[in-house]
Amino acid sequence: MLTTARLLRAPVFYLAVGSEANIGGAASAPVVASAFHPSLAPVGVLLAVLGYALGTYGGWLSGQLMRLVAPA
Amino acid sequence: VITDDAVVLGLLAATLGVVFGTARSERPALKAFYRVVPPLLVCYFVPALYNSFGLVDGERSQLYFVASRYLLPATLVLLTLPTDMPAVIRLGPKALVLFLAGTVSVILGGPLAILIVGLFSPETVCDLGDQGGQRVADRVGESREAEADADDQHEVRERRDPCVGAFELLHVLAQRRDGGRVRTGRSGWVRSGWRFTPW
Repeated sequence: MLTTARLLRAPVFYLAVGSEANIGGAASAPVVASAFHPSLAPVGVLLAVLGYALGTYGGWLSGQLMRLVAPA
Repeated sequence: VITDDAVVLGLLAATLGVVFGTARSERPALKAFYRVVPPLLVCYFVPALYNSFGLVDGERSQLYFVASRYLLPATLVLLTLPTDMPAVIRLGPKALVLFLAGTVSVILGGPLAILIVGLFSPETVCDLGDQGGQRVADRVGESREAEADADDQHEVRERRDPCVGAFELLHVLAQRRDGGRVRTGRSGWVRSGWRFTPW
């Protein structure tokens, strides 16, 4: 993510909120977003909900990959 | 003790219905109550009381198996449906690419961790048999969701941990604190869209 942010020259705001939307969720991403500016909180909510949507399927994919690489 | 799982399911559903129904009520007494005691806490606590008072037996019921294997995946799909995709796309490509980079790193991070640990300590990760792998897959999927709370607490309860009640309380209060911070000064922005996930 840091590398991508560097390559894209993306603002730290996107980095912080994107990271928190992936790990935290709809509770914490808006808090991070509003730390930059109170009016940015909806951006955090949107990304966090996207995180829920993708996370459901991404979590399954991740689990299957873990199963593949687990020895024996 | 209620042994019929269909009756237990109905009882739990009715309980949640009453809790969420009264949580939306405009009556001052109820509003005051739910301002101090979050509805989510009641949702965990009342069913826990059913178990404690012997009304239902969590050890003997097959309901948890059915709920976690069949109902949970279905509700997770339902949870993803109302995503406002046009609004997300309007955030612009940079935000999305960066976000997806984060998602991909998280997805690859788990297998990578198992791969690395498996290189020098296979016994730590090798006992993930068929059942184990499935459990990890379930767990990872759930961990992204609010529903994970319920499952974690059930797993703890299965181990008969005596501090389960306190754990639930702490957990819900922690979420409540976050939700409170989100809502302050934003006129209930988060709450408006998802009535059942106010945190």
